[in-house]
Amino acid sequence: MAAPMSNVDEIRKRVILSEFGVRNVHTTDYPGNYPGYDDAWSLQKFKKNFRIEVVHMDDTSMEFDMIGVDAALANAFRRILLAEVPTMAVEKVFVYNNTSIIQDEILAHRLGLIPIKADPRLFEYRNAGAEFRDEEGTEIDTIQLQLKVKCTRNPRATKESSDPRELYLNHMVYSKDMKWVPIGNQADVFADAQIGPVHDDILLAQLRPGQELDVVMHCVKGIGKDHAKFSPVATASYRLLPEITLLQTVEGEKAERLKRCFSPGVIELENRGGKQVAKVVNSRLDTCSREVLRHDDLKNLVKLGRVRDHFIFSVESTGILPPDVLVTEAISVLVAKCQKFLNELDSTEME
Amino acid sequence: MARKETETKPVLEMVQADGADEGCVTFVLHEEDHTLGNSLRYMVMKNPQVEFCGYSIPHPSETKINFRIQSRGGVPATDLLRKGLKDLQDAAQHVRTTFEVRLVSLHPSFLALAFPGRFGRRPRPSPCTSFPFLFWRARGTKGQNKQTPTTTTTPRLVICTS
Repeated sequence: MAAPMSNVDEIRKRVILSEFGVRNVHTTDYPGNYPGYDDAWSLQKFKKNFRIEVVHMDDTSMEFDMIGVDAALANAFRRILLAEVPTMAVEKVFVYNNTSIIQDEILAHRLGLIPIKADPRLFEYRNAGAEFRDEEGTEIDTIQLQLKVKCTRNPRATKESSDPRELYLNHMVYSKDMKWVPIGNQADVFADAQIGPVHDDILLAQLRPGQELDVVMHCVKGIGKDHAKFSPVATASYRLLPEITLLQTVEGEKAERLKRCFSPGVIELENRGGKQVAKVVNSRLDTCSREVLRHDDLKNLVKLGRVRDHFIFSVESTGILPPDVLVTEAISVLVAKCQKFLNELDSTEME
Repeated sequence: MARKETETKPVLEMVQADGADEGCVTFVLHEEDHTLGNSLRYMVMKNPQVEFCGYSIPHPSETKINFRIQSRGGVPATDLLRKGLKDLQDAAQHVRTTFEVRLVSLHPSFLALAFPGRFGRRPRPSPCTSFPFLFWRARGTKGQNKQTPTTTTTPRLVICTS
């Protein structure tokens, strides 16, 4: 059983899941709201409370805890991850020939959605706006890819064969067929970068003998706010840490039923003096289904809550940048936003 | 607001009622949304000198927010906005530092990934001016020999995918 918390502290620090709704959803710890509390912003206090714990990390996904931060900030980081961290993606498709059954527009759209492995931090944004529309891309802002595939009959196929894999050559066009064509000094600068699609095995089109694809693509730098193809993450989300408190000792059949109300591993039974007693082992695993509140004899024995300032972030990268780099990039974007407006305020003051 | 010779879009505007004191101002932040709006509102509201702070997105197809600040005791609203922005920036910077320290302790190769060129195997051709927040550019040292992509014949069709 956790240490009891005063009513005010509970309102300030916990979101309570009750039978007919969720209470204390909003942040209320603003100066002047609670007599006796100093809620004014203090960087020292923030630094003292703030923690990050990495739970899991691999090449494309990570889970970490961000503790001691308000939802306003955590949500800003999440939103920036989804919509404002730049990546490179196919923006223009030059169709020289397309005799496949897949229409030019559909093909172009498909190509646009393929994640391109290239470090966006090493490129500039292309000039936007009508006056720059006809301007050609350069080595600092454009990656050129080429897709040139022609399907033919396989001369070595057996007569009686009906399997397309044996009958035809090049009848499946995959993302690996998109070949990088360096512009200017790109071949030297990105010699070890291996620019191209992240995944080799995305099926783009199927061809039959005589059909042909010949397109050139220009990839540019952009952000997810403009088009989802630029989003660097498959998903980026957070949840609050669940907190389950047993208010009374729960034994026997009730304990068994209580255990089954939660996700596996949340509550375990403990043998205490010959009786099976329920014990909260790991409330983090809970999905917060509130199933327990449907049992009239159990619902008053537990308290379900979530810790308001404990965010469990999960970031899944598309593979262009590793997830940890994405998070630092996202934070940098927020810092830059603040700087932009601070500069603007200062320049206004001067006038 | 700062405007160049060519009429550029404003970044920040101030709207103030006639005769109202400088403690009650609506700022118009262009090209911003809930991302900055809500986090900045939180930070500004954390300031005891603020009586009221709120924001709205007046129309979903306009990319701007109206950010209202009313102060206590006639403190200029611009000062409160500046403090809010500074506090938010400080907080974000601390989050970034903490995150980076944690990751470097987990896997030292993180630095090379987070700051390409600076810690990478191959030195990039152009220098980095302020470590670690500026990255090496893809541009070569000679720099000015920009080349346009090679397009041999005109394509049958050009499709913009967005």
